[in-house]
Amino acid sequence: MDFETLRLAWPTLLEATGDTLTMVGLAMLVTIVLGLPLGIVVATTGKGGVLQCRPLNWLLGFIINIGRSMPFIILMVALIPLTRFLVGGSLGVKGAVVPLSAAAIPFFARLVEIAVREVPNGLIEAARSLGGGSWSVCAKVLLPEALPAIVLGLTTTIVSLISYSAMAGTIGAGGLGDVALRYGYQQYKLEYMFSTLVIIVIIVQIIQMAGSWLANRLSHR
Amino acid sequence: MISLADLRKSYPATASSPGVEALRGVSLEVAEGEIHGIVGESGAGKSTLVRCVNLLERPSSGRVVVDGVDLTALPESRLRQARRNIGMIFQHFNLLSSRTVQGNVELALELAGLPRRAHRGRSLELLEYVGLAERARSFPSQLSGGQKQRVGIARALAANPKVLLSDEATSALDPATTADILGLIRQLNRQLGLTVLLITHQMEVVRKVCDSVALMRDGRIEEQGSLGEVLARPDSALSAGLFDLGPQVAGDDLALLEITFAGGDSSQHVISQLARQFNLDFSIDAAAIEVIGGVNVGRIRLEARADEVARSGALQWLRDQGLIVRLASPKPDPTPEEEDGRGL
Repeated sequence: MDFETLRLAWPTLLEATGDTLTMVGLAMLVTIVLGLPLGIVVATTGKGGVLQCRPLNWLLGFIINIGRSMPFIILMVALIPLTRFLVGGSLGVKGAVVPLSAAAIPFFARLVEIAVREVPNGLIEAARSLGGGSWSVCAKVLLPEALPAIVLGLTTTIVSLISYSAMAGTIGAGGLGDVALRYGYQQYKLEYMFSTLVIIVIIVQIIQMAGSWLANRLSHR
Repeated sequence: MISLADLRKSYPATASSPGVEALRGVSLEVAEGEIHGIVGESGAGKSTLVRCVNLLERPSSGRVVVDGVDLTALPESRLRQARRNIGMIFQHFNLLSSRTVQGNVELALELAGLPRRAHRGRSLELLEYVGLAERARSFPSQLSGGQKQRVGIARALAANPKVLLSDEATSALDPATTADILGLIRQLNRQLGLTVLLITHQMEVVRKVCDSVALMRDGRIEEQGSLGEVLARPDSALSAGLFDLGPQVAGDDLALLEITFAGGDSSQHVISQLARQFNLDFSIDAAAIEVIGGVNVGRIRLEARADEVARSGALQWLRDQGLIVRLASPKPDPTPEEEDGRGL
């Protein structure tokens, strides 16, 4: 371990950390916007659900399973044409956002589904007895009651996104994965390899702590 | 106020469970301002029945008319409207853990479509009524079971319903709290003229608050009537369960007199008059009495010497007072209705 190398590595690592956080942050936003409704729809269209529609439920479940069964490294390469079409290129931070979101959306949707299904049926019954329709049951009962569990699910999803983002580094997305691969693996600079690991561990710890704290704050069970 | 006509509900067989006929033709009338109890063992169909009244469960056939509206004929949007006229409280309270006590009451106001600016005042007024105004900002997890049920009641009252459905609302509560909640239900019934349909497996709940009662078994109503009517039927399983005197034990030369007060003019003074007028010695073997509407109803079992009872003519005198009297045989076998009584 050479401290001079470590000092010189600092700007590179800092920039890479920023790239990783940007990638993950953008992918997280897309994942929330698309994955949250998807999870809620899957949870409520099943048998006995408030929006029961079993063909739709089956179709969405099928699509989610496809997304979930795809190894990320293959998904990433397979999606390159789509990525080019959507963001005009497959490299860099914006190129990574598409495959990262594609992997995280079905993952998060499943976690949302589990969270929503955990809401006791009696609460739905109570809301319906008060004259609530399907939409108000979703908006006023299911979502608020499932929120702490959804926040935990989102935390898990973000942690997965960080690990995926490192893989995305291998096909030119930049970020910490890219640094670890280029400097740490190809040039055998241990300082880089080690520093990226430490940074990733710290980021994951902070995110998990923040997520658990928020979920706790939101839960009044 | 509530009129159920030949309700049937069956659940088709699935891969994991055989088909169930939960209701096999239930007809029931609940008059306005009445508290009507439905008792029965678990699995008798009580829960399904009460859920059919506000169509949380849609009956397979039959008609549900509440406050003159045939709910079974309404489209979904109109049905939602009609449900606001029917409050419901639950065994496990079913409060949102994510909202405060006040928030839970406001949920009802939101779902009923009241203007937002009216929510705060109305919800506090309701909480005041159930005696929980000072806990408005607490979360349900910070409340006791009885307090949670009070919030449930405040929520159910939010849209000024005419009918309250109670699904085992006191089954998760201890006896003192149960009495509190039943008192509150009585109060709602008197002050707001609320018609209450209450299902329970606890006979004492019926005895404490109900004006009339029905016994359900295997998806059918086996017996029904006002508490007085039910009590006046000597062989009724309901009355044996409601006013349970326990097993009979008597010696060879002793007679057991079972006197039923079914809510007429006669009071318990007849017991002391009996002793005075007929110079009869007796002991009170068992008694189950409840004051309903200021009148004593219930049963008393007296034990006296068989020959004295026969000679005195006391039986006829008691019957002349409008009481129902049964003389048990000196060597009693357990009677069939008492066996039924155990089952309840």
